[in-house]
Amino acid sequence: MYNIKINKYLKQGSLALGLILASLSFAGCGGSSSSSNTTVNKTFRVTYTNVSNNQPMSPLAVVVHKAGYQLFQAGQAASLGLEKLAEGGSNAELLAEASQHADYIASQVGTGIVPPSASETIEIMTMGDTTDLKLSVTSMLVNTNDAFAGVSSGKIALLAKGERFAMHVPVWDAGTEANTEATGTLPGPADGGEGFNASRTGDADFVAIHQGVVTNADGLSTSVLNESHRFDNPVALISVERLK
Amino acid sequence: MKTIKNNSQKTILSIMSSTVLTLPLILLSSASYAQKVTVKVQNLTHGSHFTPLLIAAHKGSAHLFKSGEAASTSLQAMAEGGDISGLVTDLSAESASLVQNPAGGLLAPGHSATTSVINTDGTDNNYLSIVAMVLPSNDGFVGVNSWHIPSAAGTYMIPALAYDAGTEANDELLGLTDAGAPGNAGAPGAPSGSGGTGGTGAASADNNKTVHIHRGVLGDTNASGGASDFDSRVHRWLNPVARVTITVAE
Repeated sequence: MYNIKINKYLKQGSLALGLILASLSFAGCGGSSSSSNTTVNKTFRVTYTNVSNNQPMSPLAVVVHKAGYQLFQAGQAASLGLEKLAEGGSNAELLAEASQHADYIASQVGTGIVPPSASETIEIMTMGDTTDLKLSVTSMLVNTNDAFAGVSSGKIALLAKGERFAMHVPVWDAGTEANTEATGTLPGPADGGEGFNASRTGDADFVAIHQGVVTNADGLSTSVLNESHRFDNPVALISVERLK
Repeated sequence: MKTIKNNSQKTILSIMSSTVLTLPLILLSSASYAQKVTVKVQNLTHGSHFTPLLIAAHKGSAHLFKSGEAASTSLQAMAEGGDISGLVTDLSAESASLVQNPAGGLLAPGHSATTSVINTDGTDNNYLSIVAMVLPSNDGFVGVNSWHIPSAAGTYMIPALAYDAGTEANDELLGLTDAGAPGNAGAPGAPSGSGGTGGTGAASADNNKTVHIHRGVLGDTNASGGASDFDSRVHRWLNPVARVTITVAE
């Protein structure tokens, strides 16, 4: 761990030096207020709103990174950290994985569950090379087997200071646990059952857009969910504003 | 006072530099002060009608609705019964540019309605919002919230989502007395047909009582009983429920 951190610091330092030289060579042109190729420290304010009816969402994981890191990819197997988040709502392992990646820049966690209708606002700072900045945000829908709301590698590099944009966040299926909706398999208040289980048997083992929950109101008599737990996309809204 | 003076100086400087550097940009930006916008809304659903649409160009501080916030009484009247008059009053007080009911009644599945030209000349009405109730539903509505109208001429396409006003239980019952009045239970009608009777009620009150994304119709296949009076084969939808095409004229 310690070595990785030192290497990372050195790498950022050398990149930063190169960029400072580059920006010096532009000095004197004047008027160029927003080159995207800078070492300016940036601060982003991320506001996440749960717009589902009855799916509380687990504490947020917010990661700022460069293009080489992917929190998740459609069609690819979930990392162990993502599996733990999507099945049990824990973001610790996912953020530990992220922090070890060469393209990791910074992360923040939410303060707790984000209930339906609630919003959480998180500020995240970046340092060093801010070219090609990406934002990834994810959270489990806790009344499901392995569903998470998330955005992977949202583009924030070109956001100018004071600018803001909004994203619709869909529901993904981690593909790591069969969607039985059965008693004892969902960690949320609808059930209080099991969270993470290392087995991926019985599911696709790749990330896909979630097909929605069936519930006991629509023919799955063994489902612990009722009609109130159903959802359509998007289930969350994210607004990103660059403060600094 | 000092701050104001500094600001005005900055403004003057920026105008000067743009005058010197970029004549074409000035022409573009002056065009943005006399914007002429038309809006087309197409109902993308299979079996759901929209009540008369309200299409508004308004300033950034005005809103018809916000996700995660309680519906206004005017929004509730629109979402539960299709009545846009309260929202028209609210937005008129904000000097918005409005088009009411471009379809001349209900907008059927697959059909489109196009506004007359909305001229925002001399106003700050640079944001577009759209609402209409979805039928059949208890308090579902199709909505666009504060889409920033570009100053550049062109044709833009955006999806519109189905929201739940959060003000009424989605019981999916038809034929209840005065069901479209705010606060009254039941859905006011199923214009596409296939509506049933005798349902016991598909849902109790929403868990999320603010404006949120609609979880969709449940329905069932029992026309004279079951939980819902809606038909699950006809009245379900998925987002997006409408496509909005905005044309900004030169």
